[in-house]
Amino acid sequence: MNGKAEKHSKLHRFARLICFFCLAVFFFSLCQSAQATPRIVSTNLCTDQLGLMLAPEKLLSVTWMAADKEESPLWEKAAKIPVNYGTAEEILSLKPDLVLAGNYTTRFTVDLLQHQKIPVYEMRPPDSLKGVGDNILKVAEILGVEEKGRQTVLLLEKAMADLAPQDGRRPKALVYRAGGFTSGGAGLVDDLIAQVGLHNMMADKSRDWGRYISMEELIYLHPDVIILETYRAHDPSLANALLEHPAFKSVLGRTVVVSIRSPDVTCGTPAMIEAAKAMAAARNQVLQRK
Amino acid sequence: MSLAEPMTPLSEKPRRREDRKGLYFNAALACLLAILFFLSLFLGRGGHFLFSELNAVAQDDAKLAWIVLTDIRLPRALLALCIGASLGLSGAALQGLLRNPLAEPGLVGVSSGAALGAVVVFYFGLASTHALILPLGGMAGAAGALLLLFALAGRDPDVGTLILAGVAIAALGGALSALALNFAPSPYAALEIVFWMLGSLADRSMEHVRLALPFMALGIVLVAAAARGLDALALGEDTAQSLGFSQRRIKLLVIIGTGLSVGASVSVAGAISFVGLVVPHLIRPVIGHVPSRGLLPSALGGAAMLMTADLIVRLFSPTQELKIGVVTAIVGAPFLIHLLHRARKSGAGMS
Repeated sequence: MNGKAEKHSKLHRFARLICFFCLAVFFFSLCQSAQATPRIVSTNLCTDQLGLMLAPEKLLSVTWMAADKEESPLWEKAAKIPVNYGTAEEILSLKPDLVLAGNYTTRFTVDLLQHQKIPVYEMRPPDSLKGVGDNILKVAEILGVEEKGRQTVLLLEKAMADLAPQDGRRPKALVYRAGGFTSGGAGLVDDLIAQVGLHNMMADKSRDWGRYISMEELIYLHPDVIILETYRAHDPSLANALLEHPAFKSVLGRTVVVSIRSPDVTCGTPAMIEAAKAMAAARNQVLQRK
Repeated sequence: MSLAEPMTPLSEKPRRREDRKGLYFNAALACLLAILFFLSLFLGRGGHFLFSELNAVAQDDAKLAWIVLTDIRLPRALLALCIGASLGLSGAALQGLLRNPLAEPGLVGVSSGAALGAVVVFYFGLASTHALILPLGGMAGAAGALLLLFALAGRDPDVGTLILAGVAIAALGGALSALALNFAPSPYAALEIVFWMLGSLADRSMEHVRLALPFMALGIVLVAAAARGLDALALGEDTAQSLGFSQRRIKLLVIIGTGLSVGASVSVAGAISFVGLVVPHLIRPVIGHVPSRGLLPSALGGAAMLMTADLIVRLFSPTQELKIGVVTAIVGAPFLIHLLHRARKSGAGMS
């Protein structure tokens, strides 16, 4: 009896060892596969843009806006990637390892994700060219493409340096958006304006993101350059209809107008360079007139 | 002066004195309007008058001032004048027709209906094909709301029923407008609901004046044509019939006239409330209760009230301009409360 029991317990011990070994191998391989392809979900338009620019194959999902031509300069790259609407339900069901969000993303959603032990990286929308560079480097690091990130930043910096003015003249410029909103002394557009050698008239009045100005005020300011920032210009709205006002049109006749799309200058992508080039060209036009 | 008091012409009073009092009053209102019009054109923020710029040495500055005057200030002043007149007049006419001192386009839901019509044609691209479709949409909505009002309120509604019907229509119009705005393709639409619900004359152009003015003028003429009929109706339906006035014709004139003028107004400036309520009440102590006598002063008074409100929002708003409906509501809502309070005190009550 004793011998049999001893043999049993030895067998048991051996079996347990085998099981433990198998399980260990199993879990180890699981970990390896998890490390191999991290599941990254983007829930913010700006992180979408950066992700699509740097490494679209690493993104599990992007927001629905990323595939919309009116919202996203890189909409073509988003065509094959499944979209999400930013709700906690959707994100959780994707089982992400990391979530890219904006710092304005709903607190509730972010808290819920963090409660589920999913790391969330909250990115601030860039408010300066330096901010653009920092964001690109950070997202590149997260996606594991640091070298590409560095190269992209270098290209952007070179492109902006090429547009820098040769002399000290600063024609007066003003950003005008649908609904009569302008851009103040803060924000990416203001930085772009300064970099290409224009002077943002509204920066003198407010150091913030901008405010509404009436048509009358705009006429009195009469800038040399009006930067018309358009967004969904084809869909009718009172805000867009304001840009058809006869007084505005007569002002436009006297100034150089450069039209840029809002999505191009919101997130800091190569599309921003095109907008900056257009602004620099406007500056040259003004200086040639004078 | 309770709410139940009938508005009948008192033939005992000497007519000539009444006529002369009315004439002086109207003349005074017209003078006030001229002053307000002048101020609307030339007065700018901070008490600054436009003259110095218009006579500026630099050609460019003078040209810009001229653009401000003709393309910005003039359309705004004209719209304030005409819309105020439409609202005041239709308020007086509705109060006469419905024999209800609380009737006015905003409260009975006409403005909401007009806003719904305008919103649907504007945001879904229908007005892009032809600009005229915008005021047509507003007028269709206004007429629809009025017809619905008469259908709901019945032949001879009492005060309570009418106001309830008006509230229901206004609520429905507002809800459907909000729904339409949320479905509109443009993301700006949902924010613009404030414009449609409160009204604004900011940054209006001569294009808006051209679209709305003909219909407002026609509407005003039609309502004015119902003047004698309203007098007769005040004596009672049967009396009016025996005097040769067709109640149906009078109703139709007021409905179509109000629909045209209020519909066109709302389509270019949003729904501005309380002008049609306050003004007829303010002029009644001077003019008396004869409906026909009250129409012209109500129109002039409405124009004066709206122009004053517009001056206030243009000159005294902090940064972003207040919507003009805020000013009229701040005046009108307490006034309404005062009317109700007075009615309760005098025991007439709302049945």
